[in-house]
Amino acid sequence: MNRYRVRFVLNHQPTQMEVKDGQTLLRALRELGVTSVKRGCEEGECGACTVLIGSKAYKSCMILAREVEGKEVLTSEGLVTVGSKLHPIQKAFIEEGAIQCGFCTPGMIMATYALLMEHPHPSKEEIMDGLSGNLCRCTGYSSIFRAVEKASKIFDAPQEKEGEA
Amino acid sequence: MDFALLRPTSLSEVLEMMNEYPKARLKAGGTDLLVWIKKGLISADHVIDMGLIPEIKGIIPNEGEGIHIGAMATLSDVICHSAIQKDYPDLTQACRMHSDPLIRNQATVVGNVCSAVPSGDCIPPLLAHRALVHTVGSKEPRVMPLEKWIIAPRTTRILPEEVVSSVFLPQPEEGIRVVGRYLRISRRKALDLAQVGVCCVMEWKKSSFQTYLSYGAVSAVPFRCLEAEQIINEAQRVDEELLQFVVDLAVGSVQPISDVRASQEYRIQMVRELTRQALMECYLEGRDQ
Repeated sequence: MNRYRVRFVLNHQPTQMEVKDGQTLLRALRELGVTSVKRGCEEGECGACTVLIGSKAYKSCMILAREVEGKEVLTSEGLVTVGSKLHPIQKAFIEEGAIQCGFCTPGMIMATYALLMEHPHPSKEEIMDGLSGNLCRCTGYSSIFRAVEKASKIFDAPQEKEGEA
Repeated sequence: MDFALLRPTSLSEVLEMMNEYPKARLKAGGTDLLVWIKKGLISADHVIDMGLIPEIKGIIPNEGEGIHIGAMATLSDVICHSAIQKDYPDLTQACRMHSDPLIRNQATVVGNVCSAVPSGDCIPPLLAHRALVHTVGSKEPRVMPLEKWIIAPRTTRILPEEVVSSVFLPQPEEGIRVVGRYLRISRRKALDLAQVGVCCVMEWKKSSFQTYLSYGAVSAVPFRCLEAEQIINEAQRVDEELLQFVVDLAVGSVQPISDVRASQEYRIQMVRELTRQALMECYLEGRDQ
């Protein structure tokens, strides 16, 4: 089977990877060492492999690696800034105890990121819908919803400042 | 997955590839296709990815005639589209209920129509709006009413070497107000298939209206209940007496099965409830506007 070189931007860095035709983005990213992207159901149900492509969230087990040619892919690793500073969403998940086994967490965080980009002040219903493609078998979701609410408040200040500038 | 992936950039290139590899599978969003391949439900040596073809991306209004939903338009694209929200509100509702927000970013309306499963959420609203399926192929382009398009579960009238380029929604006539409801029941809200889906569309012109009533997941193929529509349109009212009659007609026209999602008895009971609710809500909303 043919191998292809895919050029794309991974977590703000121009990146190349060698992939096969039928290889999913999930598997290709894990081969690259991006292990926040979890291999759960591999059929689009669990959301543990959620990544952003451009500004939208996708389940990377349903995307073929070749499809991200020339695109920007963001994973949970990419939210961490210089000096290992965690993103407000990641912090909120820790502070609210929204993590137990942690397997769903990177996917939850990426789905939250996409949700807050679209709805900076989501209602409870919008949070529930926004995370409805991500399954958690530990927390019962309440702590996750609290973390999203908390993260949305932390988000306020810098965004408004940017708007004024 | 062991297939060769082809990535054409125009529909004519797709047709050439299909000619060369007659058994190739077409991929739009791929949310059904990749799962079916992985599970071994279908075989695929070649997969043609339609993601790089500009002419079938997005939603294209055709001034004064209607709206083309291109083969690569996602459910999220449809949900955000203001003209669809206004004139085809039940389609927006159906897209919102489909799967989850991540899959909606990827899955396409045309894919839903081509997968042609009995529970496809987009199908009852498209039927109620008398949607047309546009195809291109090695012969002349074809246009076919969606009603005739699906002939059995997962089976459509598509020809070999033919591609669906869009689904077309005719524009309501001048002065028509459209009220629509897509109501569905499923075991959980997200990521589950409908146990029953009922769509009602009422097109109001002043105080008179035309009703369109369609069903998903309660027969081999989603369908419109023409008899019930006719009774309602002749009566020009929705009240308890009429509802009892119409609901019986609807129940008589569905043929649900018992499966892992619901029993036949439950589905029939829900057809009663949802038909009643959809009709009443559309009637009251249209009448009071």
